[in-house]
Amino acid sequence: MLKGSKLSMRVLSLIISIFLLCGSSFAADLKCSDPYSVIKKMDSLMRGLTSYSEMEMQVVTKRWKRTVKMKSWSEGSKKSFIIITYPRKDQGVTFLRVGYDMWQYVPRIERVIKIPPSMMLQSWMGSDFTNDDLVRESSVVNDYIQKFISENNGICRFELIPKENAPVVWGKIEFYVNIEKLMPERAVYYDENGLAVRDLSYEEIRKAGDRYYPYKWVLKPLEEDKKGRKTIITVNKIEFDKKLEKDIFSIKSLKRFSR
Amino acid sequence: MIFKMAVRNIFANKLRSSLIVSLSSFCAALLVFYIGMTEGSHRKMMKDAIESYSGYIRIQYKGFSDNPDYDHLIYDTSEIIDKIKDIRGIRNYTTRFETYALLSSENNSFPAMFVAVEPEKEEYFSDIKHSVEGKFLNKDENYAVLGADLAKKLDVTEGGKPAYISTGLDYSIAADFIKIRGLFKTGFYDFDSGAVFVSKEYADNIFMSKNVSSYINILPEDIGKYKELQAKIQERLRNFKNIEVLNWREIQKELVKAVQIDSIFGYITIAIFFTVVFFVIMLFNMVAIMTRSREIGVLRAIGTSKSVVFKTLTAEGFIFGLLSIIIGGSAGAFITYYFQENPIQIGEYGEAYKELGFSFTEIPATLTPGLFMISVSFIFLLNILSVIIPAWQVNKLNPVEAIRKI
Repeated sequence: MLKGSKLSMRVLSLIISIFLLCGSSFAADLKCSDPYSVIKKMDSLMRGLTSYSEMEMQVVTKRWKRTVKMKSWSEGSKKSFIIITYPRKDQGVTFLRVGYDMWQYVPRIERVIKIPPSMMLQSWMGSDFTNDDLVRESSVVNDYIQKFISENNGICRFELIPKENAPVVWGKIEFYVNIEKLMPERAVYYDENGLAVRDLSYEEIRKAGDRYYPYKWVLKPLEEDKKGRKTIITVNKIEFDKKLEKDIFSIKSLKRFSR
Repeated sequence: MIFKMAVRNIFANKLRSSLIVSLSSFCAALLVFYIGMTEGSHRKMMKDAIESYSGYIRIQYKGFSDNPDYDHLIYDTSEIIDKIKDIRGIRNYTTRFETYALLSSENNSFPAMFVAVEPEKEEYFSDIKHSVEGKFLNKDENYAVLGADLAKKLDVTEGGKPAYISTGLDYSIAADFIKIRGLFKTGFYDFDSGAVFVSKEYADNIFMSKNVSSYINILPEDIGKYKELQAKIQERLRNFKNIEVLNWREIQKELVKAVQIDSIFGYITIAIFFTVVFFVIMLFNMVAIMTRSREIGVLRAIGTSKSVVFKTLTAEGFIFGLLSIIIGGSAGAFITYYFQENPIQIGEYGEAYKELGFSFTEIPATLTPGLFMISVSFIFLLNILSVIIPAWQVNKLNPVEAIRKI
């Protein structure tokens, strides 16, 4: 019985390995001329089926620097959960996103508050990211028409134009993807008037288990009055496709995890 | 001599004269009233906007009007106040800190403008204190006054304790409970449905905003001399490179522009009306003068010069104009004065204005000597102009030809 179980484990490992090999060879087959498949694959690799990460966000303004540390769990593109672990003042603040809805729990007032749609464009934790960025992360695949522009040294340059009636705030996104690692290198966001308003670069791309991952994200607003501002996210730890705690993506968890 | 002839001519054709005088008087009365009402409503709109919240003079960080974020706040408020507080002409000054917060009751959450004020000074700078039902703010407690419509949306009443979440100046989460001390109803939709006021001293602890303000409001001793005071403050703060001093016209740029556009359209409408009136009066004069061609021909034949004829006819216009502005101008001034003292109540139409951000329950008229003089001078000029063309036409006729005319 034991032998049988060991054998079946080996068979299972072999199947998984073959599957992963197939997967990576599939990735290697992707070409810049097929922007939709490239971006879809890149997006799914960035997220995994599930993910757990520990990161540090540094907000740099003209006046000062601020560091926020957090832990984050996600499942696909629809669900995510974040808990702030540093600074002490914000420790225990939790965020839950399910689909397009977002809730926040603040221990000081012991209340779960749903973020209304009118506040989705507000800054998230004082950073240059907005609440909307957290909620609509998946839109690069579904809400935009991807167009191949050029390829240079293995970096594909795509132009993402919003689909008609898509609920997005950008007029255009210029997206650069490393075709070998299937990871984003840079995204330049344009407003409806065609002006570049922010530049997000993905740095320190290195292996994270079976895939590559950018361990440093740098977001710089390009508006004149926001010169000198930037938000740097450094990923200290990331794990993909691990089993997550049951019910983590529930409103009850906001309070439970806050403790 | 010329004047006597003009008077005789006027009395010789009583029907024509009374028609011209009636029409011109009506126009004079209408113009005085129209300008009085337009000016009155615009002044009320401006005064309401200035005195209900925004103020006459404001000191702020450059660019704050376009980007009212934490990078555009005044971080050395006391230093600026020390520089300006002894300037003559300043009646009072106050600091405000404005941000946004998400207000949350047991059942609902709504974003609102979160304004921290100096409670003891706020009554000089806004109508909020006078619009509160209940009590106003204390200096340092977590008391708040809420817009009545916002309270309704949140489903809270006086004594309630909603929570709020916002961002502190260090970008940490600023959150607390506030105790509702009173509800206000200013008539301004934006305030009543989306603003909460707390004391600055309390907010300074939560938002870490000590010595920080969104702007400093200045109340001039003489509001008519706001520009002189603005210049004095600018001069005193010349070393503060990133600070600007704005007057109410610069603060309320959009409203000033809207009023100007409204005035332009109003004056275009009234100009079209008066062009029609001008042609009607001119036609009256034309008919009246042309029917007197024979009489004018005789005058010319016995040696009266063209210039005397022209002057006589122009004198008629002068008299008509004078009578019109005396009768019409007085009537218009009386009506305007009446509506200045008893403003027109617009009742439920005011609700529509509130949706647009204006508090309107009544429209007063305004009568100023300057505006009155402009209106009546215009009517007077119209009367003179309306006889010049017919007089010039009749003077072109040969005396013999003119005598033959019926």
